[in-house]
Amino acid sequence: MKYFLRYVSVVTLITSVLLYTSCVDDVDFDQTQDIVLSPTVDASLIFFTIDTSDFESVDTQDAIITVRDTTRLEFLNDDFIRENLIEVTLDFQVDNTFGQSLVNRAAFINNAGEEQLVVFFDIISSPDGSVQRTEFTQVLSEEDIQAISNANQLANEVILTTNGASINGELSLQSKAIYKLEFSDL
Amino acid sequence: MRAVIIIYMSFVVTQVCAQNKQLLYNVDDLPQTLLSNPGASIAFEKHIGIPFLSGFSVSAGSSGVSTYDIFQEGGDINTRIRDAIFRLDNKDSFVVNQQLELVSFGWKSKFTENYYSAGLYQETDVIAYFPKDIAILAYEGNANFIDVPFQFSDISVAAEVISVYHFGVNKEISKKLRVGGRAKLYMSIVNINSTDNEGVFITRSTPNGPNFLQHQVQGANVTANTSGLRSFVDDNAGAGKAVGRAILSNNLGVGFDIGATYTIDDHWTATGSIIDVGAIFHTKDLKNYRLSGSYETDGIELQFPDVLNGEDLTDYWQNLQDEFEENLPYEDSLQASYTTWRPTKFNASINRGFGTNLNGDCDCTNSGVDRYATNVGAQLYAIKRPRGFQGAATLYVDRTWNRFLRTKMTYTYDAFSNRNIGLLLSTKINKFNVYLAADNILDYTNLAKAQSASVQFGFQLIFDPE
Repeated sequence: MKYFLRYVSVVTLITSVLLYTSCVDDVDFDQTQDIVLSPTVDASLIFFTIDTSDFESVDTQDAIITVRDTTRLEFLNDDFIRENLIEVTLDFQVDNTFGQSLVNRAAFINNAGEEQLVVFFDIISSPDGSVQRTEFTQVLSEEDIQAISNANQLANEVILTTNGASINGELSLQSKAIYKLEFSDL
Repeated sequence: MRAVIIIYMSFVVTQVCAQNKQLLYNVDDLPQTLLSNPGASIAFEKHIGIPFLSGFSVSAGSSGVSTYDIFQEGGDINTRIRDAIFRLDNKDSFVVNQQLELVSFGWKSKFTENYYSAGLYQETDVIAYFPKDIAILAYEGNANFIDVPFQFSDISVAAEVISVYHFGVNKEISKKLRVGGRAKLYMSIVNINSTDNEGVFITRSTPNGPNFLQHQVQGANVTANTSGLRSFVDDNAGAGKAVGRAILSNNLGVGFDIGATYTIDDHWTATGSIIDVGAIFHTKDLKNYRLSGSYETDGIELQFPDVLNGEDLTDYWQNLQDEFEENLPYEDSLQASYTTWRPTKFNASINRGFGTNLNGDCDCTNSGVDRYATNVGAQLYAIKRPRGFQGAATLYVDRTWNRFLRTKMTYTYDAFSNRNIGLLLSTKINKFNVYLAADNILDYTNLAKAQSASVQFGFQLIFDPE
């Protein structure tokens, strides 16, 4: 018993020395509440090329011709995106040789077919068949972001206004979106 | 998630070349020395560990940054995290090792000079390399890293909980040479292994392509193997299952340790050992996850199928998803057997003894080998990890003060710390031994700034030669 008490004393002493001399100072783990992940993601969006052949079946007597296609973009109304998206920039680039007046119109549409946000810009026409480049950037407002987060489709229209001349040329559109996300409730 | 970050960062703080038991190595009156060198010179003829208390060790940490580096008071924690992400590289690791001796005993043969030792211990070992590319992608995104590949090989994690039955023999070959070996039977309780991953994700700028960017996954082969986990996660198996597996597991492995001590002359000795040469074969209670293949996309190409005021909705999105899943299949219900190699450890030392010969002028109990009260020396240690060897070098002073007290002080240098001072206190009263060892004691006043820490202690009965 006497020996046992001596052992206990020694162990207690050693353990106490370690415990009483060890500590964690000058740190604040509450700062985890301040941790914010803020990745910026560049993602391709839509692209296409249209040329003279796409207009062969079109009645060129109409004053306005609309070329339209639609795709679902399911991620837009995803909760993960909806809750953490703070900034979106849309970049478009169009190379055009058509001589007519052109407008590109991109509409973000919800499941009911209702337009939530429309982004449109004029495309520089080509007077002589040379390639004319149009670059367009739109930074979406907070309200715009709220609008597209209700959408799950993108309908893109190229609107051509006839001018009596034959419709000849080629138009290529490239696009990407730059999403700035912020995850603060980790 | 916050708890995960705290736990991770807390470990990121305290690095250790885990499993390096430099304070117990070559301590010839502690049975634990036989676990790091089965051919160690020993100064006892029987030992019995107190069940569950004879040996406990824990070490944890990671290289590169400390808890203080991240969580220091004041300033912006996000800036510090960002700095850490870019400062660390994919060889920095987070390591935890824990061992608990459940049963331990040994005895000297009545008929030979052999010393036999056996027991059962439980071990947890975790290593996770810092997935730098994945961390940058998650923290920064790809916008500032166009044309920069993110390597999936940065994902490298190995974690296991095992129990180990072992039996060792320590044999004197000659007055100068003592050798030992230990056979081990591994029982895997839980194993998670995701190493040797391959592939890259890259966003390329494509000035001559159809769109601004092209997103590519090239040669992906990312695999995570688990054994023993499915029954806990899917079937809610309890602690009883873990205890059962610790005693007898369906996922077995075998291995061995070898070691030797060579007496160079009256004062100098050299030792070496290789520990845990072995493998575990995982064949039951398996679940594997795998993502493999290659895929690239420029975005969604509109075809304008109905040019004039067309309203047709081509399912581009579904096509994109289908192509992705076809080219990059993710499988999460595989049950494929796999093998894991144990992290083999290597030890070597050179020792010089001087001062009082504890065996007296005429040593008749230890085949004439001198045993000095004061020893100084150097030890080298290395452990094989998924990305190569991690090593450490130690200088030590080992002093037996009297029958009751022995101390060993170490200075250890490794890739993570150049100020690691450790201290062992071993006291023995009658046959009852208690030892306590800790390293990085300079940082005990504020562990937040420590980059390595480990503690070992044990209680046992040790019987000296009569």
